Amino acid sequence: MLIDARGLGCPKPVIMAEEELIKADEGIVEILVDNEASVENLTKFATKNGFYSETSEENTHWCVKIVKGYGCEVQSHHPKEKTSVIEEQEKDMLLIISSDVIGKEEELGRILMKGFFETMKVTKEIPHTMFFLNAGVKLTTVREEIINLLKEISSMGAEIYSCGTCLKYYNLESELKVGHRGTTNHIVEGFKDFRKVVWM
Amino acid sequence: MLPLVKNPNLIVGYETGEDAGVYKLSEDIALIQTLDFFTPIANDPYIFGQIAAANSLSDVYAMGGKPLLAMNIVCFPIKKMPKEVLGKILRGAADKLKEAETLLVGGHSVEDEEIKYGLSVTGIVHPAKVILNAGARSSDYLILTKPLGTGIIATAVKGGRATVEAEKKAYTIMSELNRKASEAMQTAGAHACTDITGFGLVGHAYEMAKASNAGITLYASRIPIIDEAVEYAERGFIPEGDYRNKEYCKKAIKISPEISPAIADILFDAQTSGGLLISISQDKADEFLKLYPKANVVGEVTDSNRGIIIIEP
Repeated sequence: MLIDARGLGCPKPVIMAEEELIKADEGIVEILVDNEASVENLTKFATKNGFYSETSEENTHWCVKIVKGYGCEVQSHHPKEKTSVIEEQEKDMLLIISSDVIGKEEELGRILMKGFFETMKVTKEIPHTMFFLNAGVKLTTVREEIINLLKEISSMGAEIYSCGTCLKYYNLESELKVGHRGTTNHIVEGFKDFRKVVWM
Repeated sequence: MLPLVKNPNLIVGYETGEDAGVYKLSEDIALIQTLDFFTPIANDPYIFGQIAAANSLSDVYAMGGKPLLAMNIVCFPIKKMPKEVLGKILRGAADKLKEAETLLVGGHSVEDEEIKYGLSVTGIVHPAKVILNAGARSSDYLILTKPLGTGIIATAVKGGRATVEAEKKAYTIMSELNRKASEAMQTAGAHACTDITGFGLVGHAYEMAKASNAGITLYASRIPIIDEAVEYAERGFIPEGDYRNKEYCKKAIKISPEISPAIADILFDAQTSGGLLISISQDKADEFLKLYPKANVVGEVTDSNRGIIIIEP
């Protein structure tokens, strides 16, 4: 959403930004202003509301970009299970697993995958969140030897999610054995909220 | 630049940056002449009239004078707006002038795109007792007689974001005469005084420091502030003029990093009909506060750091 507030003085640009952002839980507005006071006021407005803001200077005006939302609030589809709202501070690592094997050679890939989680358990190098998608969801549903490892890793503090669309695709929706259902929002949000995002 | 006027009877002229001129008529009487007018600061025309009158009278009070006569200055879109609006503005001002025992003796109006209103005020003062912004002395206390934040609240009102309560507080403060504070300052004996208007507290303190060739230290925690102004400042309802004030005197200001940005912004907030900033010796400050207990000691004058404003927490 672009708001052209050039030629307008305080408090107009702030009011226009507020009215736009109040409508939705998440949103981005870019406000063009031609006085520095409005840049300062928009920045204050964003800070006060916990929104992210950045300003770029053009030739004759400034563009203040304000981002509301796009935080890391995860909706659990299992209301009875423990709440899956992740703390808001920056987290260390999001691990995305998009296959049930590591590498091309399938038999070797299975062994490597099991070894990977065993190493993780032993070294206690636990990522904050693991997200399984595509064939990766088989690991949280039907692969017994992996499920047991993941349960242990989960009890050590990792949050585990499996892609809902993927579970549906493999007809495994009722088979989830560890963690929760999640959406691909996890991935998008992960880029901002985690220090490190690792794809496998 | 206007050419400077020289005359042996002119006590205060254009060159010192005071808001009023002072002219000696006799050994006992000097004339104070001032005028001020602006666009509406309040949505209610009656209240706007009151504020405009209190504001125009303030320059006389700040010099320790007594206002006698006033004349209306009116710009009004007579074809676009019902003239009852103008009637209410004038009535608000007339009521305020009555309170100030100042006579309204005429005025002039012109047609304009938007409303502007104010008054020209004539007052008197003893030529030897004129109080200026020059004259602050080292170790004086600085006293402020009204809370700050009216400019920020007026901006929030303009944006439709101020509470009714905050709006009322600002109107009450702006429409209050500086008369009693001025009388208390004359009784107690002040060294220097200025009223806080467009430059904000820090801007006017800076003018005082320069004119007095002294340094000024202000203590932020002692400065009275309208509560809501802090929140509105944080939310970005800061008038453009406040940023100009900050820019104007930034080289002469040392502000402690412990002071929150919102409080710092309020110290530069342009006030309409703001309070008096009075420089007075420490022993006389007590007497003043007995006569005018609403006021607060907000700082002191120093021999060091001349022309500099230091703001401590």
